[in-house]
Amino acid sequence: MSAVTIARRLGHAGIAGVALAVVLGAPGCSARERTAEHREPVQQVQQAPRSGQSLDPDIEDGTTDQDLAEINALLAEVEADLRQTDLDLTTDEGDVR
Amino acid sequence: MKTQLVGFAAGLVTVSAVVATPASAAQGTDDGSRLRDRCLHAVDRRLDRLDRAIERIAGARHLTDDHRKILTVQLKGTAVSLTGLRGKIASESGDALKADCRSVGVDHRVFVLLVPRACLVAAGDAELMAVGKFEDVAKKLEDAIDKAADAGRDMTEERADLASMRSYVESAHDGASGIADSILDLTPADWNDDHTVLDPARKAAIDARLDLRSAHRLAKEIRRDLRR
Repeated sequence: MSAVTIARRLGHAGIAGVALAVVLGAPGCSARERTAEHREPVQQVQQAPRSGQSLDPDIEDGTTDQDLAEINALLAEVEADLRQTDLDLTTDEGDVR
Repeated sequence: MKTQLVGFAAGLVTVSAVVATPASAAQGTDDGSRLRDRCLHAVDRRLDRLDRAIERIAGARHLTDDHRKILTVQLKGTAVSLTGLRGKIASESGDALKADCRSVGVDHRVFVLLVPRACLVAAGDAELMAVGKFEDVAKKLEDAIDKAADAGRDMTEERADLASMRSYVESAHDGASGIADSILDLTPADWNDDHTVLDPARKAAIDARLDLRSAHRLAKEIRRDLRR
């Protein structure tokens, strides 16, 4: 093998190695970076204010919404109990004589 | 000849009676067996419903401790009574069987009194819990309205809505607070005398629920107005 041939082969290997290193090192190729990229948009969504929501902390009070959601859940239970009451009351007692 | 005919007729009657007796007896046995089966089925239906009601009461977060205790004693006591009756029915016949079969429905009233009563008490307690939460909500909304008014906004409509909301909540409180006490002491005999004994409590629970729904709608409207 001539010195010229050896030099050419080393050159190709070098180019391939550099190309591989660039690809592997590119942003988004490591698992950690890919995970971070996936999480990023979610964090952005969470930080963005909701449409129609007041930014005035004096007026805005998230606990009221939570209270109303809890009341809604309680009323749903009441409605289930009332439906069950009607079902039982219309069940034939079927007195056996 | 006449004597012979009379003798022949008497013989026929005797033969008929002898032949008919086993069939009638068999029919009587069938009736007893069928009645027993119907009774046992009636008991099992009630025991199954009671089991589910006991489970529901145990898991109802909003029931007061006193109400949970009273309802559990009533439901379990009825289940014990029906289980005892089941044992008797399995070995009884005749009038005793009929009396115990009648007792399954008439002396227990599982479907028309016991279980609906438990549901109504649970509904009333849940409504009273909602009333308590609405009092907190009303205070928070009032504070928010005051701050918005201090900031120069016209809050006339929101104040009127808040007053209506409080009125609905007060009405729900008045209706729901009497439910449990009005029905917890009722007995199957009371229902047998008057089949409408649960109606006032049921109506009170339904009306309170409607009041609370109206209050909920107004609270959401006030919240929406505050965000504008």
